[in-house]
Amino acid sequence: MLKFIAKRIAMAVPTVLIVSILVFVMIRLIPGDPIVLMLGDSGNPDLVREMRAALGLDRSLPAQFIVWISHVLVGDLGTSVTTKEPVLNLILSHFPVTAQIVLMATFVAALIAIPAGLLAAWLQNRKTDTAIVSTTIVLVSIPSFWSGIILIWIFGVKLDWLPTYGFQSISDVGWSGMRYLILPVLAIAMSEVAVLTRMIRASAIDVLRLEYIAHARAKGLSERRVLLRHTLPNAFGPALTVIGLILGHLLSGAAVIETVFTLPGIGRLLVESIYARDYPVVQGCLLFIALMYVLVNLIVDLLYPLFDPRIKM
Amino acid sequence: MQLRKIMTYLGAFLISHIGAGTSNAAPLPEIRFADAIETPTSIPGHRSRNTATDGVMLHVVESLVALRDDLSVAPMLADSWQISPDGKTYKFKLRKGVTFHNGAPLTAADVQWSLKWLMDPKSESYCRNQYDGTRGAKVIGVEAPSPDTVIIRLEKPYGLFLMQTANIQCPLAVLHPSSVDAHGNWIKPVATGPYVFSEWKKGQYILLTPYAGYKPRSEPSSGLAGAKLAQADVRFVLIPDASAQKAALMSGQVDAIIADSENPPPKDPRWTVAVEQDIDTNALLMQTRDPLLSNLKLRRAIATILDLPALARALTGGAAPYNPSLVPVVSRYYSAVHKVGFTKNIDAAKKLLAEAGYRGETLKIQTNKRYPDVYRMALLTQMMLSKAGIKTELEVLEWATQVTNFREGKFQLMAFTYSARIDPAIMYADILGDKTKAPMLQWTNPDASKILADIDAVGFDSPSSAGSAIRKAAFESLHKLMIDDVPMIMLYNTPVLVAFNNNLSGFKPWPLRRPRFFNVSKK
Repeated sequence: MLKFIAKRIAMAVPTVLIVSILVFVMIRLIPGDPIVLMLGDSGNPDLVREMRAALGLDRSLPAQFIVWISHVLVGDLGTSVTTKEPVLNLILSHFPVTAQIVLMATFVAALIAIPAGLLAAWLQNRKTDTAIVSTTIVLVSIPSFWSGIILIWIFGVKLDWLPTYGFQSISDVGWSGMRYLILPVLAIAMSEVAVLTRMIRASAIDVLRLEYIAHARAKGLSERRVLLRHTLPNAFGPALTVIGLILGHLLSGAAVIETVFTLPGIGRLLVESIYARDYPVVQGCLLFIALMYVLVNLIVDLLYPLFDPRIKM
Repeated sequence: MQLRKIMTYLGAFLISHIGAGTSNAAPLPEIRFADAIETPTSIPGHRSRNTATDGVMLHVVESLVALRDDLSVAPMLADSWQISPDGKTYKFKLRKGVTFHNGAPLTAADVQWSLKWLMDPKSESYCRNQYDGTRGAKVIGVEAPSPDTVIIRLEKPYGLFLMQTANIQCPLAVLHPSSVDAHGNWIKPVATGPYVFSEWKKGQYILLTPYAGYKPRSEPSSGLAGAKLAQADVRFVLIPDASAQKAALMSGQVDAIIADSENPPPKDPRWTVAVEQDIDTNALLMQTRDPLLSNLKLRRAIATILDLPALARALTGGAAPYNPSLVPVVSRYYSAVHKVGFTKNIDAAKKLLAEAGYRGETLKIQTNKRYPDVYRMALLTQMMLSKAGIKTELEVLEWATQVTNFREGKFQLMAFTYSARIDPAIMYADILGDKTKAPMLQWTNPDASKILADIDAVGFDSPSSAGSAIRKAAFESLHKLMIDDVPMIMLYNTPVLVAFNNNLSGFKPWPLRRPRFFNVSKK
């Protein structure tokens, strides 16, 4: 097991290195300059030159990269060009917000999708299946920003039950912080539940056609036992991969939802930093995101044998 | 059974706790204003700024003088001032009884410290260039001969100096030295304004609370000048999305927003949508160094093809008139001369096009979609030009790319908005000059540059002074020259829609756009 983990981490090193080089070069290839954006339509060229020199942006790209990567290797992601705050602090203050929402949304989505997908597969081509599949098509077709606005409109404006903006961490204010999470979690879960339900349904249909399911039924096992004991564990494997991908994707920043609900998450930090051409923050965020993907996929791989004993590490 | 019991307890716990956390009773009502952007700097008023920074700081910090509603200069921390005959020395007499937010009395030494700190490169203050001669005045000395007297010496006369110290973007913020730590690192503004900078939750809000020791001036309130009374806590909340801002206003969760002009809140007795004339300038820029557009006749033809009043009406929904001048409509220097611009005349334009030798070449119009009005300006311009046979192509760029192109002069035509300048001279200074040295300048005309240089030294502190009349005449001359040269086509000053709940009393928009919450109460 430890050997497997070490091997996977070693495999991630070139991935992260390539990502860091690509990110470093690509963000600088995009037209635009952080100093120019800070000064806007005022400020003279001398001031631009002076500020660029002060921030080390006047050096050659390789020189800038060497400085940056040598700092990264000792855990220093640099400081923001616009706010002068350490990038690591920015990431560590924004990531928990995204993590809270994304983990809850994925949990809620899985909680709904697993029984729904299993039920649809079990009742394939019947009215219930059609209803579930149709619902997932509708849900997957709704862009999350739109569902977010609609949820705000219904629960914030019309019913006045929940706040329409803002965030308070559960760790700071206790359970009252949940009021700020309900709508964004719902908005994210709505689209994810659709993807997961369809995935589990498809896997479960495949499993239900296998001989050992017929054998289980021939033994006289109840349908509930057939579904939960013999179908679900085998159908869940592919879904686990999808959950891993969804988690990796969402943890890297649900920027749209974070913008609609004014959540100070890592997605919004990244988008705003791109707009501001805040190179150190963009580089730091993307490096962090690459590491998150590696970590989530590692966890998924480690969980796989629990559901499929044929897979060995 | 056991599981059911646990679930019942858990449900009861959640219901009893959710919603209970935000019920701390506030001693004062709280006004909430939704801002679409957050202050970019680590601490407001330090390394960088944007309009969000300005909006917060104008409640917290004060300068020696302040701007009135008509953008003229009025006393604030200084009761009076004298300018030496050579225009290079300013002597201020400080108001008595003013204290900082930490209770310390205001003295001339604090003003001296504030200006020195602002100009010290170590402070990394964004506003340093406003006082070191890079842009405008060059301060060469600041003295405090007595506790209530401050003397500021300039290298050479600069007519806009007082106005510069009151500018909301880069005021001469009078701060207590405890605003920085022992190493000179910025902590937070400890100033003299009616509000105290109380709390900043990054990415979420900034909370200002009334300063109990604030002594308002006796003059009536006007702009940032006169009496200022804090009657409620003020929370600047960050809501980037325009629809979410609107929803927050309609649900009563915020009290005021800058409304989206394309999707304002509907009419309702609970709130008011007021139109405010801003001084941002919207214009179609023309690159006079471009092989085609260096031809004056082609530029004039373009200006004559466009139905500019109709364009302004269409882009503002009739909320702002066509303004052919760089002098804003609300400026006290605005006169009938500035209303003279270009008149649509397709036949004359076609003649000019023929004389210019235009042979159907495609011109590119740069724009962006971050600011919808700018995009629509480019779109309507393209449509109008096509009717007279001018071929154009829209280049829709990301904002950062467009700003870079603007600064480097890499464009043919560009739909653009200049942010507010408090005096027309500052606006002219930012567009007038040698393009070969500074490509972001739009207009090269030695005669115009001379007029501008001449009025730089003219004082204008009293609207009735001779200096004011000289400046007015100079701006009229500059406008006439600009219409002759057509380096750009001015369209209108941005109208701003401010939506605020009717439970706010005393809330008034003003030309500098940033909402003011002193003298505002909440029912």
